[in-house]
Amino acid sequence: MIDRRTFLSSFAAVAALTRSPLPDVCQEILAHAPDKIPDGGLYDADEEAYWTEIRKLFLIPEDEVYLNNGTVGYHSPHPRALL
Amino acid sequence: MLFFSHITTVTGVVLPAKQLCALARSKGILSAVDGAHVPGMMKLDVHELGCDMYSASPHKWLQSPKGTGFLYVRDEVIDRLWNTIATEGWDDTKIRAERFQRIGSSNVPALRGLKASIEFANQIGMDRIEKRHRKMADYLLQEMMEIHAHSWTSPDPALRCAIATVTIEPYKMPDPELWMWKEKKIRIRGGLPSKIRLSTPYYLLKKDVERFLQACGEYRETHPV
Repeated sequence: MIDRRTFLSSFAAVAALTRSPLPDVCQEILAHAPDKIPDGGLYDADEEAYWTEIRKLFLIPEDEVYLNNGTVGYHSPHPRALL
Repeated sequence: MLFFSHITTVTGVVLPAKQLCALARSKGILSAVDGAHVPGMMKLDVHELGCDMYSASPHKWLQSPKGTGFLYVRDEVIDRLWNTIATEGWDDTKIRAERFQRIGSSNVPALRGLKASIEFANQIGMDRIEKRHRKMADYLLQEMMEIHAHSWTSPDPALRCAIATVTIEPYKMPDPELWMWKEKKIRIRGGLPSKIRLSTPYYLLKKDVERFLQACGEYRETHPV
């Protein structure tokens, strides 16, 4: 017969499986990401500001810089629109 | 058959694909283009390019889900190709290129992601994206050469886009690559013996490039030769 500890452990395993596979840092970014692409007017007024808004749509931690593209994990950042 | 990469992985050189395909066609040779880096980095029109076949890896510059891709085959060439997947319809030439890929129970979420990534890029606009890519890569290449790196990509701006590869002798990989990530949280791609491939995806900001250049200076100061 299954004991109490084993029974409760099985719930923990299920809970772990149902958690989002995204790291917490990505969850945080997603929570604050804009929900749409900035207006083209911003591009005309201030190009760098436009791309700064675009960057916010990606799963890129604020303190990380990617001069590589298409690599593994969340270092291959997807835009929010794909998630 | 003439097979070549539209953009080379290591150097980032953009080959004159339209001219190469035209040359192949004029000699009765099929052209097959590896466009792994192209969709999402540059505007692409396979019909205008005049190729017979074109393949791509959209997880790179369209940021599509991994495992997605496409193979284009010019309609006039479809009947000349042998199908490597023998399943229903494999020899039915009426269904054209579909006989090379019977969707069946394939990874539908990945395909949906591919579609979403294309729509996302088109909403920003590929003209705008390509312009940004070129501008940032040109700036980064120029700045790297200012600090005595040697370019490994084309000196002609028309023959490069969002990849600038340089060598930074006498430093050897992978130490600078590992240092950049561990100490500065900057991802670069190293190559033996002293190459670094620098990509400038449009989500990269000017301040990110400046941060990298500053880190290069710090690396040199803390790693005297």
